[in-house]
Amino acid sequence: MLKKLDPLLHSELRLAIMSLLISVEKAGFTYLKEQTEATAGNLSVQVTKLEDAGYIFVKKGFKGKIPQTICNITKKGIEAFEKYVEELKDYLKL
Amino acid sequence: METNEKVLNPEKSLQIIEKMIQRTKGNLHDSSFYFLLWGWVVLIGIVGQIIIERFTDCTKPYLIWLIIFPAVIANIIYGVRHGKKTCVSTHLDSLNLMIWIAFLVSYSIVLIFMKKFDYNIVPIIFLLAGSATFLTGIVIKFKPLILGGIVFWLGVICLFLIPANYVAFISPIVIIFGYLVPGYMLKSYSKRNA
Repeated sequence: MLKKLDPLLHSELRLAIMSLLISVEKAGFTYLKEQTEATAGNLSVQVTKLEDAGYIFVKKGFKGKIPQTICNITKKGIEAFEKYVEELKDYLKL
Repeated sequence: METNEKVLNPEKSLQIIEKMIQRTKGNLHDSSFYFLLWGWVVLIGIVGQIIIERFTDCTKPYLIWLIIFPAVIANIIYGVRHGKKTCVSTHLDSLNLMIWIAFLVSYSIVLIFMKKFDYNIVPIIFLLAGSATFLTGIVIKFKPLILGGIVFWLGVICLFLIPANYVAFISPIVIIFGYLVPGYMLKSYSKRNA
């Protein structure tokens, strides 16, 4: 019997965020917004959900006088993403 | 991606993963500034030392290499400013940075103890610079830099094999074709792909 996919990752925007973060070392909020083409509000909500789950680490600071949010994937996030991809392969019988 | 909880099927999930990973490719930052800065600094150093040795009575022609210190400052200022502008950093960016930090550490050690090498540090510097340039070319998949690294290695072989009278011509040629030409090509490539 096929397992249920991780509901936290099985969402379009959250999966997109995780896919971007698994490929880079760190990424700013602006970069994530550009690449996912999401609205700032929606992106912010999904980033917080991933942060609360411990899948990503969010560091808030300042670049000069402008606030800057930098995100990077955590070890738990990498493991969850890898597990999600494995389960996806099972579904698709790859 | 307007709604936050769109229903996904496994095929769509796979498409998202592929699409996003694809988007992170080509994020490597333009490093042409460093090749051009160091290309010109080293070229000035080599040509300057030759000119001082041949046309002046100066007993310490190697002091021309002190131009490295302002270049290091320029390098640091550019690096910090560029780093602040960047909103994404890839694993390959970090690897590339480490390659050049390794070069800088090795280079500094050679420079500090150049007296021990009887001031003949050019072949060592070329080997280090050639290795770093070659590796950067591999990391960013940019052939002119890979060839630039090979130019450095060939240059060192030439330094040891050809008659002493012609040695002075080798180093500037190596810098021009090992650093400056690939550097300008990288700058042009980065502009076109910006």
